[in-house]
Amino acid sequence: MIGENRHIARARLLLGQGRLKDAEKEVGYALQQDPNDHEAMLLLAECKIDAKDYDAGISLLQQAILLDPHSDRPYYLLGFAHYQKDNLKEATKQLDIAIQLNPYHAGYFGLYAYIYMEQHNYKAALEKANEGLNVDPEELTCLNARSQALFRLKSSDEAYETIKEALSIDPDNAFTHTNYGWHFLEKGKHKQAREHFREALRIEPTMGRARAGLKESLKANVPPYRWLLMFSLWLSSKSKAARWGIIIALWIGVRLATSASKSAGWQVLAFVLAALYLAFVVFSWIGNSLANLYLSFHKEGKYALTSSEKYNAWSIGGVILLSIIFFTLNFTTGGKTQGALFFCSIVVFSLAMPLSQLQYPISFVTRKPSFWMAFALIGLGVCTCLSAWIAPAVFTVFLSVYMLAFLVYTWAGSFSGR
Amino acid sequence: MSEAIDQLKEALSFSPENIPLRLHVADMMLKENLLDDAAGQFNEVLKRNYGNAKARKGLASVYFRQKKFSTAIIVFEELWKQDELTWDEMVQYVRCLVKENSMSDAVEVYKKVLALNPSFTDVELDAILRTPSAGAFNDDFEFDDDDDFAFDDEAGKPNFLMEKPDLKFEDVGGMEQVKREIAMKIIQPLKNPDLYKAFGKKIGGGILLYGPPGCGKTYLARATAGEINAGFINIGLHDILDMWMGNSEKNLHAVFEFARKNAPCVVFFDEVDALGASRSDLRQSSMRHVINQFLAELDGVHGKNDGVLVLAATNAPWSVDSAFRRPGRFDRIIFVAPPDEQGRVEILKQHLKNKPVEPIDINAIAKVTDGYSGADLQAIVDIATELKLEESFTKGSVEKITSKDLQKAVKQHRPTTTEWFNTARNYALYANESGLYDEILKYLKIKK
Ligand SMILES: Nc1ncnc2c1ncn2[C@@H]1O[C@H](COP(=O)(O)OP(=O)(O)O)[C@@H](O)[C@H]1O
Ligand SMILES: [Mg+2]
Repeated sequence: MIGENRHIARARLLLGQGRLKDAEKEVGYALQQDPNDHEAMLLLAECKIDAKDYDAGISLLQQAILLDPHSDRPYYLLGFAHYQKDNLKEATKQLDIAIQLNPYHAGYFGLYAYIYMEQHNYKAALEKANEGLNVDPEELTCLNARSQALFRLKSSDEAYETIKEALSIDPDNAFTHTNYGWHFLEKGKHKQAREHFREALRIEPTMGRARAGLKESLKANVPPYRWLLMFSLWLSSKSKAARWGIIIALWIGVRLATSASKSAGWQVLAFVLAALYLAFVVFSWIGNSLANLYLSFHKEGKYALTSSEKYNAWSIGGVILLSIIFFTLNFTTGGKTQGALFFCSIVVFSLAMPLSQLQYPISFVTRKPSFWMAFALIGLGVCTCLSAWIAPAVFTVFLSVYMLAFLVYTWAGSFSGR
Repeated sequence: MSEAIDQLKEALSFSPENIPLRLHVADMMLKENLLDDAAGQFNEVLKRNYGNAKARKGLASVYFRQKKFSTAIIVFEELWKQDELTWDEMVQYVRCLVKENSMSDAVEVYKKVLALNPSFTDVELDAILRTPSAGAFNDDFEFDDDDDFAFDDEAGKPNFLMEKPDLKFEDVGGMEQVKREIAMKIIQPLKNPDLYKAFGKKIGGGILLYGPPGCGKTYLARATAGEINAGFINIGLHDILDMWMGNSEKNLHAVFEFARKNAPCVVFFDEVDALGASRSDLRQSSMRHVINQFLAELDGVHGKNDGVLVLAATNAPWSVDSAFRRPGRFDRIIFVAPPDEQGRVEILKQHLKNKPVEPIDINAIAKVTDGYSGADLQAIVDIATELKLEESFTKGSVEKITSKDLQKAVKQHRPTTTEWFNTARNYALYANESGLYDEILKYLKIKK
């Protein structure tokens, strides 16, 4: 602090107020006076990191460390930036140095714990959080990490205990409320989750994770979506290998169960099982869009949707409606088109799957192959339906090509993890 | 309990007077987080060896971890006076003091901590204790004199920049509603004080303008002063920040005193959110002070505010301390929205005045600039002007600005208010308990 110049003092205040651009300007003045000012460089790095420009932050921190290799904070910030960039290994490395230089900063252990959480190593995460709490028993990052790790380790009582403690230390902490909310979502208690997301947003209305949570908690009003959400949140707590294992085991399990019940003569059970599994697969594709469709009519929820999500939801709603129309027409009208209408109805319905993957406004400059695949399939589907009227002779050809393409598309989609 | 501890405890039962052993056992318990047991052992030591420093330190550590901060402070304080604390323990002591809100003691100890380890930083402690208005580092501050606005303490007279703007309301395009409110709330009372008294209306308080950047808040404040031929003191972001860092009370008081002496006078606090905003909730101690001082001056505690009009503006109303909004203070809070179509026509006319223009379909430009702020419209005119200037240079004759030039400029310059509304929308949707943001909801056509 000695001899610190006024620009740096101002910048620190501005940074604390979240006025990143103003803070950057002040730091700029300080750096003009002394381009090697360690403190100014650090502040600038923090501005960049707060503005989510992690690469710029990292390169500034590296410079700051060259100027003063014995200060711990730059290493911590480096660790944080790498954590945000998902470079977990590098983050750990930097954090080790920070803690070595200053073992009395509980927040460092909190971040460490979150890195372990990200790696699904919940036991190590718990240990780190506890270490931090030894330094400062009221540190909120550590308390949050501790509770989340305990939930994963199935020590629910202790976990709830820890969350209560965090909330009693600071009832106005949006981060704690948000974590609590996501926990409840995973447990299927969407109403309790909603309360916590609302509270978090009242405190910090711009918090993205809380807004996303509130949105999910509203969508969870629709039961099948709630189950899908619980399943996918639970799945996401597993390692990548475990996730694949679960999905493949599920598939094999259903195959075995259906063939076993078939051979036992329980045709109905086999059919129900297969139908349930099919419904699950289809819903895992379009469930999100359907829930968004529900949300777009919800008094509060409609403001939570982006316009891309809205158009996406409406397009799905549209094809499903069209499919139902074709389906009823098939049975109410006679003549040549009967049968063809039935297949059209199925084709139209199946279009919901590629449609659910589109972003709006549709941009043709994208290079993503998944977009082009979806788009080609939709085009083929439309042609197939049109051919039923225009060129009934080639309808069956179109239909078989479409079905083949659809199979390829869904398989490719599943394996690319969508 | 671990086996090692059990064994040592058994050893202790054979030699209860072995103080080093007992301390060792207590330390191990502390490491295992067996706080109650450790406290018991430390107390045993003190019974046998009154004043044992190690045992007292151990106890303080136990209390700290048990979050019995006030008890820990009692023990630490004694040790501190006897100069027995190690550096680590000092840090713990500071944390206790901060938790118990004993700021001046915390500052004293923290100074020592930093003296022993100058590179030590800690987000929480720094945020609370390094803010100089907490009293810690005033002496070490170096003020450079590169400021547009400086307080001259030695001469006893502040040298504010007071201007006499010649801007009038008519120079401000649109904003009819806002102008009317300002007229009723602060201009009329100044002109007809007796009338207001006759109707029993209290005079005083200020107006807080909020809204996206570039929509004319500062511009309007200046025009308010010009409209009534009053002086205008603009306290900007830097001045507010410096009030925090320097001897704030004196400065704020000086501003108001100066305004009172030079009445009628408009004191305008621009970006007033900087006075109370902090992302971390560590604002209490150091900031409260400045805010309270500000409110006291606003309330006229230190002198009558006759003829002093207080205006404030902010782009971040959500960061403005709620104490400002109480009755008698900034009890009129006005949303300054981006100009509507009619307003845009007027603003465009304003900026095209005195420029070589062909007959222009201003209405057409206004139609396609929904969401553009006054500053954006000015930027559009500037862009068009530059285009023409270049052309005039090459052609060697004065080329006039056309509709086409403006249309082209509109395409080049996107409205800057979008980002603000993205943020404001969230506040209006999720944190609108007091109806503070109803105007924003209305503007965004959100029905709740
Ligand atoms: N209503 C208006 N009429 C004329 N000019 C305006 C108007 N609003 C904004 N401007 C122009 O935009 C500039 C920036 O406006 P300013 O008052 O600084 O915005 P704010 O304080 O709301 O951020 C002004 O200097 C002025 O030239
Ligand atoms: Mg302004």
